[in-house]
Amino acid sequence: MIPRTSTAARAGRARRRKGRVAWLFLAPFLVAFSASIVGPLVYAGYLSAYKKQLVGGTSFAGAENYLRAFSDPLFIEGVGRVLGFLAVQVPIMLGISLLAALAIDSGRLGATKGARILLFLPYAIPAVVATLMWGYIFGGQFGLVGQVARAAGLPTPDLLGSGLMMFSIGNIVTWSFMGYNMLIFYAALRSVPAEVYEAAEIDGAGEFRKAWAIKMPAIRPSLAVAVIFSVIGSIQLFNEPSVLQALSPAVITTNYTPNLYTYNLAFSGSQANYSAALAILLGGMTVVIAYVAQWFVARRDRIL
Amino acid sequence: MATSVASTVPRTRASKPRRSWLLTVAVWTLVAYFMVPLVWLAINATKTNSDLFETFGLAFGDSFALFANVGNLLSYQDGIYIRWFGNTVLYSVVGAGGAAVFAALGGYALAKYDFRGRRALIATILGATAVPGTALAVPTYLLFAKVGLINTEAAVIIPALASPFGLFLMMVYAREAIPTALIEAARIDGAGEFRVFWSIGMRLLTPAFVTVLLFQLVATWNNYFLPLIVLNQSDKFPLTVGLSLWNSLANAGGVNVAEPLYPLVITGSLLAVLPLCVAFFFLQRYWQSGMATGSVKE
Amino acid sequence: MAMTSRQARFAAPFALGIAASLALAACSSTDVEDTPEGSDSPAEPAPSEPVSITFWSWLPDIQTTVDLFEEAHPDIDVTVENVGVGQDQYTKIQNAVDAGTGGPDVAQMTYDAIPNFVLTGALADLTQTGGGDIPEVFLDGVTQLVERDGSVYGVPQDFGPGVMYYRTDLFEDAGVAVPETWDEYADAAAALHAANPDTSITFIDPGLADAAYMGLWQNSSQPWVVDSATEISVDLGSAPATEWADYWTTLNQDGLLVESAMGSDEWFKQIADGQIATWIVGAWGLQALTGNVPDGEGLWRVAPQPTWEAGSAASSQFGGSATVVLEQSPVKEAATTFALWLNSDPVAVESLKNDQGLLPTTKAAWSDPTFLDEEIAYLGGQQARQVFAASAESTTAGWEWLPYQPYATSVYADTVGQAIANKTSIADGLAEWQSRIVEYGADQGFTVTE
Repeated sequence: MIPRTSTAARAGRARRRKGRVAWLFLAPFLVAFSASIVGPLVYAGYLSAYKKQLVGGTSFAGAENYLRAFSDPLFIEGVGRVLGFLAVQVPIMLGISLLAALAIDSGRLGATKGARILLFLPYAIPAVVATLMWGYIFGGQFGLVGQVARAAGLPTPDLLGSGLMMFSIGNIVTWSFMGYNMLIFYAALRSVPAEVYEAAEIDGAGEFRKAWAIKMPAIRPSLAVAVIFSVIGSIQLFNEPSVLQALSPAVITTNYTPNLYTYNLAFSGSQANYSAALAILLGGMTVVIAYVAQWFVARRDRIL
Repeated sequence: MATSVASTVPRTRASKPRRSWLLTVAVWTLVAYFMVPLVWLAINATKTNSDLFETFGLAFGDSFALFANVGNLLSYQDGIYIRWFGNTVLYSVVGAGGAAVFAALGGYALAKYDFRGRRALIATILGATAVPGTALAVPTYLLFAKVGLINTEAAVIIPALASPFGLFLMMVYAREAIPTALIEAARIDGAGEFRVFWSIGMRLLTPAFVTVLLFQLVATWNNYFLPLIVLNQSDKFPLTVGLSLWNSLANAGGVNVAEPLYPLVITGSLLAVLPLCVAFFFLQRYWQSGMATGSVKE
Repeated sequence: MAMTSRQARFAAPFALGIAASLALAACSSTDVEDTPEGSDSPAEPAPSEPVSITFWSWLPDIQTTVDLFEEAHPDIDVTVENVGVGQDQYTKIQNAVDAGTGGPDVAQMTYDAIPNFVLTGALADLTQTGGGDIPEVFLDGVTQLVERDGSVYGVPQDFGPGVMYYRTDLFEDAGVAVPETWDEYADAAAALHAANPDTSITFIDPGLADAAYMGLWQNSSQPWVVDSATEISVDLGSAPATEWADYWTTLNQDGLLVESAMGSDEWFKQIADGQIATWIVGAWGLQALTGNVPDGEGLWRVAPQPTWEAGSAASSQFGGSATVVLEQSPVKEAATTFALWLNSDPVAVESLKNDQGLLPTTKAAWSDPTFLDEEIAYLGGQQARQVFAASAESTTAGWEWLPYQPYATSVYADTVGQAIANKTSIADGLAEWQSRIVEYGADQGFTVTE
């Protein structure tokens, strides 16, 4: 005889058990995450409430560091710059990634595997190496661009000058991450079970209709993830300007991007407290923007 | 009848589509553009120091010095490069392997369980990730110093094990690729939660797992900033930190160098990138494999 | 500096880790034996048991010299680490000082960064640990850079007396005399460029603060003066400073200079290509040329820096490092012994010259005729060291570094560099630089007068 317990009670127990299991599954990640990100973040929060001077030592600063940020032209300029970068580069890059993923998944591309690997390769290149290479291509007289322009009788565009610098950085970032995002979308496409396509074919759907009605919805959740992390990456833009600074020191100022500014504050200015406050402000701003962006892109399939 | 089979047969279509030349040309033009810097790297790894400064960047130099460069690279300073290479392999394999597993476990949990605090947890993780790591560098050093982790492998590996991006990716894929009905069916059959995760979840998540593994492998292999902060002994450096150091030395210009460093940096960079390419070639065939075929009746 | 009580309180949650970390910290930098290395022990540097010290230096082949030290001192074991060049290494030292652990015992440090670390108490006073003889052994012009109020904070290693390397063939081909004054230099700039539009008399680097330091030093601009531990005065708008700024603004705006980042790939190519006719730099520039531009052998010569007044020798310096000992090191005496030996022992000095290509700073080295008279093949057999010595002797006196010079250097490109790149008035750039420097100083608690 099966003992009679109420359905609700049984369901409640099951949910609690599942809740515990979920936390257990999450535990390894959370431990590593706490040690490496949460811990330093808490410490940074603590630091941001203090002030350390060469003359006078450490003193409590309260919200002073945070208030200072709002009237700091160096910070505001950097923020404006990355927001502008974000608005242009992220859509372009994700657009190309999407198209490339669809192209590769369509089966209508010649030498698919080759294209897939080669487009991803740039992601595998570390920043030091990428700069060496792009510095060569873009750099002034002896750069590839310069030599090609001279051969064609055209003036050399100053790709590392203040006018075109953001374009050049955008080029490098897109080059580095296009393949990466493409693979994310591609993996999502590959997860669509074959029968779904078969069913659509049986129903008489053509290529475009299959793409629109099946592939796009399949990609949307991963698009949400890609958008979030591209937003984070753009606001935190650091590697490319940092390495290009050696080639173009007058263009890439110490506050060129907010992340570069926080870095220089902490490392050449011994102002780790103000740096921490700025970083926390940046983090807050990033979350807001990322939330809005992925809501806009993925609606129902969003993460947050 | 519920069966899920991870087949190794590539996904087939009812009809085989025609090759599109337009698409092929468009994509391969993009590929060509993307390859220019890498071609530069390969060509310049064959040049001697004076050739580097005195010949055109995309043409070969007066002499083919690749093997000499590799030889110098591997023997400079008692083979420190080999040491760096070994470190990088260690950090990446352990870090990426662990990160992918943790992400799979956690992502599956976030996708397939609805528990209290789930949304708050996601928001917290995202919020913490949104803070730029550069400002966390000094606190990380101070914190790690307090617990004696400075100059240890753990200082590099532990942060590598936490991949918020991997976590969210796995969550998204798990939502898409694992039908809840399958899980319920398995539970009714009496399987424990972990078994359900292992035999059903992981099978279906294989392409996603491979993706995350590959990404983490690359990210950890190329990890630069944190190792730079927490390591003060050159025999623990990964390749990125070592090569960057040589690059700064080469740029310092006035320092007397018995062995010119630019060729070492370039050749070293080329060799540093090759293993990732190999890993990618090796792992990509797992994408051919399986999804659930034949499952629960709708 | 010791942890404040606030920091100590915060450490409470990590109490468990602290014991472990203390043990690890002790093991990581030294093998602490039974030897009582008290910080107030008198100046008797030779310890009785083997001691381990860690040395941070970015000289790529310094191990050769260190090996020689270990042969002569079997009781001291030196581990060499290269953790970064210049500021990269200083950041790590700063972190280690803040954390109290993880740093070296001895380190290479450029002269401009020393006051910064002295102020934070990071460096040991070598007169207390066996280095009392330093002022007698080393050149005066260099000792002043490591001394403060009777204390000595570093052992001078090398320095860069200012000289002008020039392409003698380019000058000959254009029929232009090698300039000795800045007026002649400006004329030569115009003449060279007219004769060959692809050649510029020199380059201008928007990111090279050292070029500004060199120029302002030479003509006694004295842009910053440290009045006391908490008071400084900054004036980048003085007459000499403006004279220097306007001079270079004119050359820049007339298109007589090529803009290039010194030490970059592009810059080396321009040098190899003959686009840059002179290079005004510290004497160590020779090494860069010899190592990277072998085809230039025989084409270059060296001359003194051009001066503002005809007939009066005035020079400045560009770069150079000392070897410092960290206050937090538990083996300061052994560290000092090592630092002194490295930079003054005749065997070491020979190695520094030959293996590292450095210009030594000991009085003994500079009184050695074979050293001074050596004919340098790259410079066509010229007795270059005579020129170096002359420059060292005529260094303009009175130059100081700010207590936060690294910060000032880091914002040079943001301010003066902008003027250079945009070909606007460098004097305006100096004014901006000044305001950033003053603002930072005030923020750091100094009393700054302009």
